[in-house]
Amino acid sequence: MAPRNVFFLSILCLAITPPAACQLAAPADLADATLEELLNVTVTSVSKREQRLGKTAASVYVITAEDIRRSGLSLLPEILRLAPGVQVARSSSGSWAISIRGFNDDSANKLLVLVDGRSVYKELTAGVDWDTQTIPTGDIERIEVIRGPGAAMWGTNAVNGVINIITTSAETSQGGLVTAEGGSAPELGVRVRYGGQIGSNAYYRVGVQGSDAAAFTSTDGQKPPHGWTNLGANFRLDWDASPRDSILLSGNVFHSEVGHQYPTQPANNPFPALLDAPATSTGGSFLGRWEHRFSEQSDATGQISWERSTTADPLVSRGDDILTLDFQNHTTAGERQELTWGLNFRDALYTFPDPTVRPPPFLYSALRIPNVNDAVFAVFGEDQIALVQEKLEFIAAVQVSHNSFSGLEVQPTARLLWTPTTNLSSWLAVSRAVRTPSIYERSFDSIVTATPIEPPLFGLVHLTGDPNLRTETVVAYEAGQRLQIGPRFSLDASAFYNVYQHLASVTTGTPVFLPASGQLPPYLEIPTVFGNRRYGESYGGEASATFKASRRWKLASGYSMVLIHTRSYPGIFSDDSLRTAGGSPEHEFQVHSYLDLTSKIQLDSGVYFYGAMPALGVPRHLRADVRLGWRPSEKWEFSAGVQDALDPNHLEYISSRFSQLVEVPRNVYGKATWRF
Amino acid sequence: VAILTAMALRIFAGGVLTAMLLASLLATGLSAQTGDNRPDYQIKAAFLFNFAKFVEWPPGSFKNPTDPINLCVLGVTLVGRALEDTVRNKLVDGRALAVRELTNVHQAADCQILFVSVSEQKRLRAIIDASKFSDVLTVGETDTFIAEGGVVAFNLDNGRIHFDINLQAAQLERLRVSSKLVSLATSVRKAEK
Repeated sequence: MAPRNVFFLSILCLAITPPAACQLAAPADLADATLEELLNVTVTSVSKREQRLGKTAASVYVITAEDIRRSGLSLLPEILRLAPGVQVARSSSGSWAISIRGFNDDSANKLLVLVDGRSVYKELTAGVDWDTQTIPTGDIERIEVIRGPGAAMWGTNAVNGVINIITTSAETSQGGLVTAEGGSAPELGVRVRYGGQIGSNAYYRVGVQGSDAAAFTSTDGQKPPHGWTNLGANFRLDWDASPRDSILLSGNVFHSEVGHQYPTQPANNPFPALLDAPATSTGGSFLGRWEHRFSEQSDATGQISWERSTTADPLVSRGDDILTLDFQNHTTAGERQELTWGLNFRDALYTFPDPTVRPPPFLYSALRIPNVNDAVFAVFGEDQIALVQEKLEFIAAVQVSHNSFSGLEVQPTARLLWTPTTNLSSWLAVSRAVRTPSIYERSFDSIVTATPIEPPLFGLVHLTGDPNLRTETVVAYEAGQRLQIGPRFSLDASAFYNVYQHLASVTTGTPVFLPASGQLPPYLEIPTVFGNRRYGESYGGEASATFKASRRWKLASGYSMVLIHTRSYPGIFSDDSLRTAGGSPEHEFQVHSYLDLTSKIQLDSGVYFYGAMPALGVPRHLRADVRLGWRPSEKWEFSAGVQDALDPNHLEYISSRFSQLVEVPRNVYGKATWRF
Repeated sequence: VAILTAMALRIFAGGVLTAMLLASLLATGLSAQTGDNRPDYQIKAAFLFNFAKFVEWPPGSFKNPTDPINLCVLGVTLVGRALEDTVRNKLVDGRALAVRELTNVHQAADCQILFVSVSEQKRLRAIIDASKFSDVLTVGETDTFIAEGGVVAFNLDNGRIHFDINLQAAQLERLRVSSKLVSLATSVRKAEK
């Protein structure tokens, strides 16, 4: 999706400058501007949104490039830990469960993730394949994390949050950059990037990267044979075709191999054996964006993106082919209203080559997914009205979409933002958002596990999708407050209460006894079916505070809480299909210290607390990271550090999709960067 | 069939969106209005013009009372072009302003202001050394410019362009920088007594 300025439109100025500065518009001709006026002119090349995020009617947190550099973290999923309220849990060296406001799972289905406005959420699993999101950390300009529904702007599936990853423009990544790092985890990563200029107003950069991580040790002390390897290359071209037109072209190719344990069927034994095998993904994407500014008050953006990849593992192989088209127009109506509207078309085609034929009733023998094409067409509009200028804003937005599976969806939001002084702002919001059922939930059909009953009798669980599933919905009530006390201390807090309907469920039916036939022993078939038979509510909040103790020392901290209660609708009892309440800690806390020992040496540390997940049997965890950075010159930077200094090994997550049970080890690492 | 339909849909939707984008571009046309957002090269050009007003060059910098103030731009940048628009028909202390785009620092002999683009970053030290003691106000746009001995450096702060001043370097160039300019700088490196 194209960058949506929407929420972020007017009040921003207040967030970063003294109030008087905002009213000081430069004269039409800059040549006549005084120095004071010039100092207050904002630069167009810097994203408008970045400045606006400070004061929006939503719970927003921004991870900056500097935060990333000083965290010492080098993998995108790990970096997301820096945003309070994002639940990050690593289940192997190359797989993560990541969510916002709970409902975490390998495929966390209520979180929408975009890379430069291109959605990487897959309808197939209803989630993000994190192992293929290998954006080099040095190429990330910032990550905007929106906690809470963003569906009115960003579209379907932005139920509990949106993560928007924005990469640096080619103009700001000129010259060469070589980064190499090695760690005990162990991880090895190399990245080479070069940026140059074409003519006077076009810039490009190209880069290649590779990383390799050995498998983490299992809880039983075994070392699986396959870790995580990824290779990638990317390019980006930024061209200011005219003072009014900007064109962006970017693309990437990737190859990722990540080891998992899959349940497979040994001969003459109904119970699964575990097979260590890699899941291999190869693919690429392309994005083109044209932004035209009619005036300072009006602009239009058109964007096209296309992604194609193939993924294969021992159970299923598939091809993804996704096309997205976006158009957005932003303009003003009178002095008090800002309008944004747009169109979005997404067509996702998932194809499955013929599966290997194995006789039933064995595991995954009946896994048959038809080729599925999901097309979504959406229209959205937003009006931001200044009820009292500079003080009170009302924002109303709605997205109306039609998708080939569930039909028409209406996702509105209404928000109120009050900024009584420049140091204080409060907001309220009510929104509705939906999550469309994944293709698996709709058309899955397979024996997924065996369970002993009474020897020699055993049961086989047969899981099937329901083609008549409906969308999950949330109505979210949110409130938030931002406070700046003096130049050194700022506080941002938000609270939410979400009411969910038609949550995905699994219902177990009456077992059917099947007598021995041919070579098959007798067994019980236990039918289980996906449904929408759960409902519930969640509540909690996020808070973050920063304190600039001195010019050389900054402290940042964050806390988040999420409590979820779900129930089965009256009638047949159904269970949650995800680890709804148990998949994420109820409480998380983090504090970071960024200290400049000298102008060249930095000492940074972070402490994270993750509450226990009793439903998974994952204990609470205290994590401590320390990093020492040395920048002898502009050209060189060295850093070394420890992640998880307090704990040599800890269990962080138990995958629901794969059978591995591994512990995340401590990582002692070193990193060198050379610019030329 | 579903896939064929999908392909047709894609092509149709693509066509519609492209048409809408074009239509909207044409319709709104060039209804130009100005606000307070500008490309950075325009803002920098306007600053350079202002610097000419707030800096006094030592006697002897100009051979003739009618000589223009030479604003020189070195490196690949749009600032030179913007500067020409900015200073057209403008006078400072009765002098016209002339913009000269240079390809090499040795052409900078009679420049009063020398703007060094970020593209010259690798040659920065050589450029600053070559322009020392030649009564020129050097202006850069990188973090290291002041440390290398430049006089004024632009920096980007919260989407706005601010500047730092090195009075020590200004002293070497025998420039008198007005107190107003100094007071508006983000950081000032003091001159030696």
